[in-house]
Amino acid sequence: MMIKKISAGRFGKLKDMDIELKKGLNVIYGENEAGKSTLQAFIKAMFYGMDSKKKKIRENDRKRFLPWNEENAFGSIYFEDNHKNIYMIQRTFGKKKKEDESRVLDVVTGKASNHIDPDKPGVDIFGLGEDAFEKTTFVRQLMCQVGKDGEDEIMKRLSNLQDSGDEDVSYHKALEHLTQAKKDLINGRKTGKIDQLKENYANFQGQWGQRMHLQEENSEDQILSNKKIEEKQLLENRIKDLEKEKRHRKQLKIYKAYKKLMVYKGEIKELSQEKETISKALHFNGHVVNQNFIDEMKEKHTIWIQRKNSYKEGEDQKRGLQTRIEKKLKTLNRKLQTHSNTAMMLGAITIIGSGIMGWMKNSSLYGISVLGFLMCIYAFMQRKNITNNIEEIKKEIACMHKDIQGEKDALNVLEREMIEKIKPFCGENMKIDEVESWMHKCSSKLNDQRALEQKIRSLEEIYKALLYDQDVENMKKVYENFNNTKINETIDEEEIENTIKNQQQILIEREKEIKDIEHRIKTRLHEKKSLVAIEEEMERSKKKIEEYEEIIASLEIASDILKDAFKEIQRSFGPRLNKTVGDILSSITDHKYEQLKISEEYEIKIKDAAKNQIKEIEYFSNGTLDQIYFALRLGIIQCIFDKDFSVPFILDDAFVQYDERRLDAVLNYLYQYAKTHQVILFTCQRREIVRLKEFSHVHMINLSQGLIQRVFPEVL
Amino acid sequence: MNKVKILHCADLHFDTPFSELSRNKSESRKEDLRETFGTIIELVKKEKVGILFISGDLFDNKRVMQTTLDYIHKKFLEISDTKIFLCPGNHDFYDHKSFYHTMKWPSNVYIFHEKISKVNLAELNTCVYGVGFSKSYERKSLIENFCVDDESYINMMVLHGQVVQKGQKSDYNPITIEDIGRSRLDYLALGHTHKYTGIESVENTFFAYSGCPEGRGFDELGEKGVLIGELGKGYCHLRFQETSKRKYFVKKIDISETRTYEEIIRKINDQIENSYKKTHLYKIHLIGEISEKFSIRTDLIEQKLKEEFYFIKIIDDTQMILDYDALEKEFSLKGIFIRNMREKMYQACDEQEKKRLLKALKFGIKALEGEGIDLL
Repeated sequence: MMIKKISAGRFGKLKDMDIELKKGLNVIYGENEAGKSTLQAFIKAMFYGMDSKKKKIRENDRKRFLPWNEENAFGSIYFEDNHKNIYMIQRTFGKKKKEDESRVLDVVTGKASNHIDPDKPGVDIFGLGEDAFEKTTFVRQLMCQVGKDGEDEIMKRLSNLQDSGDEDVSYHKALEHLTQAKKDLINGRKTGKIDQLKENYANFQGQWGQRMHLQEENSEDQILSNKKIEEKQLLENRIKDLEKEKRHRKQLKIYKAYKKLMVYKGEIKELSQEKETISKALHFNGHVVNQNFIDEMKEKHTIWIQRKNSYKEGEDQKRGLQTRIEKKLKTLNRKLQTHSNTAMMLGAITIIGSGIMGWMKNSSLYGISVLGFLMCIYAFMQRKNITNNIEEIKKEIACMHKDIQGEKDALNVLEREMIEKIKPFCGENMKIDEVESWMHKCSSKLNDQRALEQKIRSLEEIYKALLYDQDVENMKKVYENFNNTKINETIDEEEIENTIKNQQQILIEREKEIKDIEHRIKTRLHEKKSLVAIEEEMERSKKKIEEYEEIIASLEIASDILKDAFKEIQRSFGPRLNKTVGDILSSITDHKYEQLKISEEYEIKIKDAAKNQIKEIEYFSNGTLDQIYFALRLGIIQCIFDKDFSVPFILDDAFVQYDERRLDAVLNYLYQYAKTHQVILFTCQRREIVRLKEFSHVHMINLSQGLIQRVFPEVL
Repeated sequence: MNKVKILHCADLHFDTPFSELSRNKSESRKEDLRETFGTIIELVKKEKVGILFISGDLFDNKRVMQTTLDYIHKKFLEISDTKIFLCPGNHDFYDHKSFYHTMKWPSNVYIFHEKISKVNLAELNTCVYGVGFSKSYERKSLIENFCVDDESYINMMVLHGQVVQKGQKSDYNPITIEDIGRSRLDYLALGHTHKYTGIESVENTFFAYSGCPEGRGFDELGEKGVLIGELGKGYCHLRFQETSKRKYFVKKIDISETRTYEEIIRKINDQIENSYKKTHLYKIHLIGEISEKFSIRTDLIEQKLKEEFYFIKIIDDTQMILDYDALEKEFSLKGIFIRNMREKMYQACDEQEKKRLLKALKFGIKALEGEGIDLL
């Protein structure tokens, strides 16, 4: 196929430029700034469109080549395919890709082609992607070097030389997928899945270690706690023993106290019984003799004694008086008889004598009768006086009698009263004389009773004091249950008490310690992930890692086998490529280098025929390098395209670094090549023009002269 | 009395990590374990079991949660009439830091130590022997040359260990049939093997592994339980009683020719009984050949089935439908790759290597098709 015409309507600095191209070698000459690069860009843009994503203007074709005056870029290209069909690609480029317009028309029919994608016609026309296009047939200035293209089309095409049935298979792409998959799992930047899992695993391991440490601490604390609990139990037992001892002592005390109390109680009981006996003795026919009664009786008795005495006295007095009175009476009677009788008689005699005498003798003598009379009166008076006296005495006696009798009566009353009072106690037969002794007896008994009561009272007081506020029943129980074992007398209660206190203090401390430990155990793992959970996570990570490692193993196997397969393929296309490129190199280097080896990465090793050694490409000069790459490109083109499918070979100042001899050789080769292929050579080198002048049928175009297409003049 | 009712269980592995499950599920499974233990205790109550044997590995490790300890303690107290005999195993061996030592156990619990000791239960005419691990391994038989003291008793022993052939080594108390035969025991309650394999006998001694009462992973499949029944002299009438709350199942499901997730899910659903889905744990291996264009994401399937299943894990063991034979005849990168790959697979002898290669084949084909590789 060949490009027939380039028609740049508006593209960068190009304006209404038409260039006709011919079969064979076309040379487009232009000095710098003549628009060579723009034209190349135009060609590429027509076949592959324009990229607008790159930011740098130099790299962004759209920015570079869109006219400055807001107009769109446009143009067309005519080409003839291998079947002599002529197509026109017509494109308009706007500011943005979506504003672009593009169509491919069959020039003869004027209809749009339906087998060419108007967006990237180059793909269908050349059978190459943009990248591969630029790396093979489209050689821009100083971009001679061949590298892997993005889609790896070149290798894909090379590797399927023998059997083109499976054009989609791309070795490098496939390898890249496998490598990428591996990189996703593990890579140098540690961002792969395995890397992350390993990091996780390490994290979990760290957590596990910390957690395990806590676990260990807990375990140790648990052991410590168990020990402390044992100690605590020992302490509790000791305290229990001590308390038992203490209780025992207390019981002993109670026992003793109770025993003492019982002694008192016994005494009290005895005395009470005694008292009871006395009380009984003071019990008479249902009547109780009491002190009041005795006192009353005593009083009465005293009175009775007094009365009795005074009665006796009165009796005695009476008797004395009676004797005296009787004596006096006798005297008086005698006196009366004697005195009064004498006086009477004397008086009577006197009277009679006076009366006789007075009769007889003288009445005067009757006067004597007065004497008698007087005497009689006297006697009478005397008599009367005595009688009165007697009477008086008699009265007195009577009175005395009466008095005595009264006394006697009173005495009797008293006696009766007493007897009466006593009667209920002692019955009828109690004699008054016995009362006193009875009373005395009673009184003494009462005294005894009182004494006993006193004694009992005082004993009871002691008892009470001893009992204090203790419950005697309890004491009794204690007493009854008391197990009188031997008590260590060397330790006193206070000591026990102190020991208990001391031990209790330690116990409290132990309990606190145990609580602390238990608290530690409880809180240490609080809100901490369980070890099992961490282990699970670790296990999960590990399993996942293993799984991924297994995948890596598979990926590696796949890669290795793919590489082997590729090598096998390469063994088939390699020699041919090596030979083709080698032949080209040999031609253009005047047989200096002819054997070379191209790797899948397009690395080239060359055999220096003269020195008979294989050299890495880095050892060659720039000029030689350019030659090698020229040969490689051309070789690849020859290898990837069928002999009957020719594509235009476009070169831009590819020979700048060539010396004259090399230039001759390469131009010569190119001229020969152009016999079967369209070659479009851009150059700013006059020396190339000069040399090519020597060849016939070279189509020359000069861009420098007003950007008009023009056949190169015979002499420049 | 010439018979005694016993319950023999082992390998509860309390607070075992369930790393295969999500965090929540893992907690739930730990609770399931406790629940199953509760079931055992209920069984003890219901059947009026006189002796409960726990043949080691009651705990999975030394880092048991307090909740668990409290729970066990409470449960043991509930069956205070039952004598409980416990021998520490390799996972919960007895040392001064062990819970067996630091925790206060109810009075009906007897924990055996590193030396063989015995407990006479005169009222049951029974003598119980036992010995426990004192470290995580016991490379010598713990009952070497052991023989009971008095054969008039019903003699039993609780033990954790591995029954091995004579001369065979094990880190877990290797006991031989000869050891067991020599013991003159009437019953040997073993723990360590997580699967019940029936009651065996040698000389006059019956012995059995009860297996674990609840499975803990896809390596402990199917029914799990305890042994319960009556024992006497020359008399062993034990039955296996299932106790597990949930079971583990591994299933292969052929999903050949499916093209959508919907179809896969239907196939899975069809193969598993509905009532089982919510209860048990499933690991499904998808097998068969499916289109190379359908790259199965197991996480997506798991996600879609999450609601219906208590737990489901999907493993993709499917192969791509590819005309490998035709492909490998092609002289192309893909053809050569497939040929080489299959050659390797043919040579591979171990299962893991085969799986790895199968995966590599899948990856390679995907990559050659220009697709990125989905990593779950």
